[in-house]
Amino acid sequence: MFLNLYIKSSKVFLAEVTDGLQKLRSEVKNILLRAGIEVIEPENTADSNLENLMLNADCSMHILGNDNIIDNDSPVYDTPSAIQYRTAKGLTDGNFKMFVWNPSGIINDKNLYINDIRRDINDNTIYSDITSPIVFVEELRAIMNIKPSAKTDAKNYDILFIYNTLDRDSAKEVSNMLADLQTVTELEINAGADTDYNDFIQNQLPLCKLGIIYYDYATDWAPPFAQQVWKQTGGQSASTPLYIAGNSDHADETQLKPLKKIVSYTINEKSIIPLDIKIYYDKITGKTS
Amino acid sequence: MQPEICPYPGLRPFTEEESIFFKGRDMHIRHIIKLLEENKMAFITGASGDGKSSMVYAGVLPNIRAGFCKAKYNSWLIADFKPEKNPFLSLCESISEQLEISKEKTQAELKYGFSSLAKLYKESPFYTDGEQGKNLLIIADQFEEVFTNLENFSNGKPSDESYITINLLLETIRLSVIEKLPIYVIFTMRSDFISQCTVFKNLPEYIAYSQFFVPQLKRNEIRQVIEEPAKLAGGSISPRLTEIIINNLNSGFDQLPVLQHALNMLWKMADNGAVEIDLIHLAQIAGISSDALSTEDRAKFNIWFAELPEYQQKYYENPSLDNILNAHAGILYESAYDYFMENVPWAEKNITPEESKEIVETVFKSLTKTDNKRQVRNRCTINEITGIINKPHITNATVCGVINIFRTPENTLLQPFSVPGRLDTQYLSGDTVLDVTHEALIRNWKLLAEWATEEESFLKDYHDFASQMNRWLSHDREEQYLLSSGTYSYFLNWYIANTPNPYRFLKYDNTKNSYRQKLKLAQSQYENCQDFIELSDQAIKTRERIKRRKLMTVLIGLAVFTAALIVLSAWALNEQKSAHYAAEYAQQQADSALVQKEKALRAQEIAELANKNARLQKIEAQIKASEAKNERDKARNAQLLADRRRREADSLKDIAELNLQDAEFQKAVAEMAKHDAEEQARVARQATDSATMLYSVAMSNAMAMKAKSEYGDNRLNLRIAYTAYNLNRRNNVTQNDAELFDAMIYAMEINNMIKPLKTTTETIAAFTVDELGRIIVITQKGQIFAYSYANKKTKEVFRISDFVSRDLIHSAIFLTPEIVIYSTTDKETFCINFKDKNRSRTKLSVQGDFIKSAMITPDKRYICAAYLNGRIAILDADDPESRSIANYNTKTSIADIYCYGKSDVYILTQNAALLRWNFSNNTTKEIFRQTSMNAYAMTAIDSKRLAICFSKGDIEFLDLKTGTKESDMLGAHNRIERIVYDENTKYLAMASLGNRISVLNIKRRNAKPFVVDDFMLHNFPIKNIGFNDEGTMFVLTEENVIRYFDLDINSYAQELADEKVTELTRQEYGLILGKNFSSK
Repeated sequence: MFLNLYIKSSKVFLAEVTDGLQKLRSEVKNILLRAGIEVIEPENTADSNLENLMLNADCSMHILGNDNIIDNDSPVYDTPSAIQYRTAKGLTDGNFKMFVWNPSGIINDKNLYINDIRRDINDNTIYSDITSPIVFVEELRAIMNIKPSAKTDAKNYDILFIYNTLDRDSAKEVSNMLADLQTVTELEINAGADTDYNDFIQNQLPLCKLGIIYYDYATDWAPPFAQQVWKQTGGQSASTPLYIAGNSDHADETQLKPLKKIVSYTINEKSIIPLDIKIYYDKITGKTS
Repeated sequence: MQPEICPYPGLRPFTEEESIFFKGRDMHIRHIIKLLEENKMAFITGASGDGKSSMVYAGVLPNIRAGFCKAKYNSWLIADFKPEKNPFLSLCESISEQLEISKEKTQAELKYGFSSLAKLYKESPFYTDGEQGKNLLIIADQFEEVFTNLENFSNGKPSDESYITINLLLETIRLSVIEKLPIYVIFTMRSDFISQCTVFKNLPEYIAYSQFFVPQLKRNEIRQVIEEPAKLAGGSISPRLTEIIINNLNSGFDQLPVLQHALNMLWKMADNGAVEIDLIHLAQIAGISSDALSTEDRAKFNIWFAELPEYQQKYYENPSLDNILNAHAGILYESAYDYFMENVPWAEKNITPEESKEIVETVFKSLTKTDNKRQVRNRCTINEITGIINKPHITNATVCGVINIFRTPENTLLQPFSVPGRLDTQYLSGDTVLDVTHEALIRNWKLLAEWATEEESFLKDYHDFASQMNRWLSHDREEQYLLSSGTYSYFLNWYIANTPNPYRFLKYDNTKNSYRQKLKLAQSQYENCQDFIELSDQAIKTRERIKRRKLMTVLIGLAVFTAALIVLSAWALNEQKSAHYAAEYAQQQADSALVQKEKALRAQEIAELANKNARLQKIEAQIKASEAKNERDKARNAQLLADRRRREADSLKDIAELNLQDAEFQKAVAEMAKHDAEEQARVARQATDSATMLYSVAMSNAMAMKAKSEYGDNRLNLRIAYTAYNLNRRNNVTQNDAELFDAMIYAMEINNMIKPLKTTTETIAAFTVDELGRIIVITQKGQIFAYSYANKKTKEVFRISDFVSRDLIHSAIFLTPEIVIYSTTDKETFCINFKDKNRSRTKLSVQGDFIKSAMITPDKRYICAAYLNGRIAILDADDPESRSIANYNTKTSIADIYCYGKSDVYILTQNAALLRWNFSNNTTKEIFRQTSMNAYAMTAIDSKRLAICFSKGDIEFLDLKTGTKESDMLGAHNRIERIVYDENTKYLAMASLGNRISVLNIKRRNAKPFVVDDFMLHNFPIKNIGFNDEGTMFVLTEENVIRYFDLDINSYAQELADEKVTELTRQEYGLILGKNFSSK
């Protein structure tokens, strides 16, 4: 099941290399082709065309050798590999990925420019000093092969009100009261149902302004559920805040121990909870300070 | 809301609470949940340290509780257990707690195995028809303990308790599947024990039914493990740090614990995630060399490092990801004493720093053991450890206090962990079981690995010792089974070095006995050891005493015996001597008689021999007389025969001499005839060759001309040129190579086979070819490009864009392949030197007009720059910016210059005067002046002769040494505007008016020059000409392209052959040249 047989067809811009690495480059090219990856090669370092050529590919691959390909302090020559490295580096500010391979044993220890390269790594730069070109290409393919996750019919909601089947009645009551104050969309979690809640929530919650996890009897369920939702939707950097609302008839703060520091919550009487939610909603949407 | 908790747990597994930070295994968790939904069980196997327990407790379990596993009920009972030393009791305990049934009842029910567990659940209040029930999840964690603990598995056989536990779990799974009961079972087990599972009936089948082998994390999953917990906790890790960690992470054993430990340390080093975690933090935890840091960070690091105590600095000598754990544990080991003194108020401070280290060593030695040649952890109580230390002043409190530094929430290398402010978690009770948090510590803390090896060695010796001792014990302590002297000495040393005590023996008691029983046995074992050693010592001493006594007795006996022997020997010797003398005298008498007898016999033999010899000599003399007579008769006959033969030979010799004279005469006649014939044949052949050659030249010339005609089929031109070439080659003709060159390049040009070189699209100001054959160009904007040239193709080698300026270049001249001098359109002159790293552009001091010609002196010291307006300046080649060294003004337009010797400059003016200016003494001499002519270009041939070009193609050669002149047209018929000579190939190229280049090889001056005409240059004026060592001529035209021409027609012919161009057929030949011409 987690064995991913899907191989996305990728295109790699295979940058030129300095003279001593031609054989290795040719080997890598053959490996890429056999891995089902299309290889785009520069005909000549043709000036303005280079950037377009790279953007035609999904990523670029640069093999490092002993000749400096970057040395901003005292450049010797602008080799084609250096120009292509810099061009790709410029593109990584967007979504373009560049794979920088430092095949072990080629660059001698005294060649400290490798430190410059490593210090220059950004989000879209993948740097590897793995020995085997096959392993490197395998990693490249795995990284470029992320299958787009299936999108559900997610919609924009004000409040997504989530509860467990065990608390259906209690939750309906709170939800109805809340609906008088704000538009509410309910989601009932039932372990026996066929729905993949994990996927659904990951797609839906970011489109809502607020996610409420309400619980009453389901004290075993709510904290782990809130934890998983918090984690799956981005934690502290999530776009949609989570708010836990517990009916004080059964809920208490100790149940929320791992969450207290990271998620806002209320443990209150059922009738007060809708107001707490509304206040919190107004706060996060900027209606009140 | 900034969380205070660290998102990385370090060496310990993730807890369920920390599931929010457990990342990288999402796919695997979903897969395991799917297995549970479908099969009711998941058998999770994997290597040590690959996070099986974390995946279950921080991954699967929270997801199940959160409702992400389809099940009958919405709530869950989680019965988890580790087999430990009795899996059945552990299971019962866990089940009884969850089902809220007494332990006794649970045990009593479950001991029957099979459906007992399912029955117990079905009868519990948690199995109902409504929604209020609870699913039951049983987790058998670290299932390998069924095999690793000798109580559970010994001599290849499982204990009854192990067997019944597995029977219960497997049957429960079976019934859950059949009856759709909401019971689920998860096993986690190290994969190296999988083969041993076959000893349990049905277990292999169930493993195969629903196994999950934990995969190694892929690169992007490791990236999630590193980056996402920090993000979730509101922190961040720099991408470069992530990449470096991924690259430095070893695959295989301990990958994840080492990683998690490093991340935990990094988080703390980065002020608990308050700042972005970066390379400097990795360097601060001894994970990377400070050399990898930026200058700024390195400076910060150095300041920080200088403040570390010396004992800590040594852990930074070999930084690596694996070293982080080693450094961390090592530093704790060395600072345990200080921690104890400052942070443990409840323990007496009566130990030395050395004793503190001994305590730590004993604790960790106790907590490790060797199992199947692998060093693994070994749980021990505080009491046991204090007992092993066995020093009256070191109490449980001292042990707890010293090792507490390893148990704090910041360190967590030993468990249970202490909680700040909770004394009960710091001062542990004597029966608290200590354990190393992860075996990765044993493998990565170098000191602990050494200790573990020492402990292994102790154990080996202990087993040897115990086996000898047990033999002694089993033989009722008989003396003969005590240690022998050598073995005693070995074990005595071992005993003194290790000072074993009952607690140390207790550690290796794997029986099922109670602790009290074990301790009693260990005590008894210890006493036996002491007895064994002591009695062995006594026995050895007794044996030695007896041995000494026996030896003494033997020595005395030997002495008496020896004395008696000496007396007897003296008497016997005397008697022996007397007998010996008598015998000797008798022998002498006998010998004398024998000698006399032998002498008599000898005299008789000599007399008989002399008589015999005399008879023989008489017979020999008679035989020799008879032989001499026979020889005399033979000699007389031979002389008669020889006289007759001599007479016959004389007559034969006369006849032979006559014959020889005749033969010699005949031979002379024949040779003359042969010579005549050969001469005639040679003349005939020469005439034929000459005719053939002339015919061939004429034919190929005709064809070369035809190759330049139009036929409507351009390929036909190629074939005609190719046929002409082959005709010449077959007849070894080279006289008309120039015509063939012309024909071939024309035919190839119209077939689009000669293309300009692919270089920059910028406008090229000038180019040159360096010693490596690379074409170096400078563009009008000042960019410099270098292209390698091979197989008629270029490839960019480097480019330099530093000197791009807004002012366009008007004229540029390469002085060397690395030095170029140029004037801009606003008449400023610059010199670029890009020879090495310190490349530069300098503005020349002499300005005011366009550069016309420039040259560097042969000694490379000076640059001579000639301007269109007639001014000439000499500049220091190393410092062209400074003022000119010498100046000269011709006051008329300059055509060209040439630097000769140290300080001579030949100046050719456009009004055809050649001057020699010596800039060192500033003297000028007019060498000659042509009237009614103009001069345009000049070059030197092999630095010996100047070739000076005048109007209408006249060339004057001036020998620079002798000053003699010589005129020649060299095949040019028009004004030569540019002349270039290449010393390597000896090619002289003359570009004349009308865009035509004549190329002459000076080595073959009589050969016709090759011509590249305006058609080949697309009617564009010529800007620059250059050659490489292979004899390829490069021409830059105003079209802004560089064209190439191989000056070897064979290469064109080869290209045509490669293009499968065929020769003309007989019919085509006739049609093109006329029917009368033979194609042969």
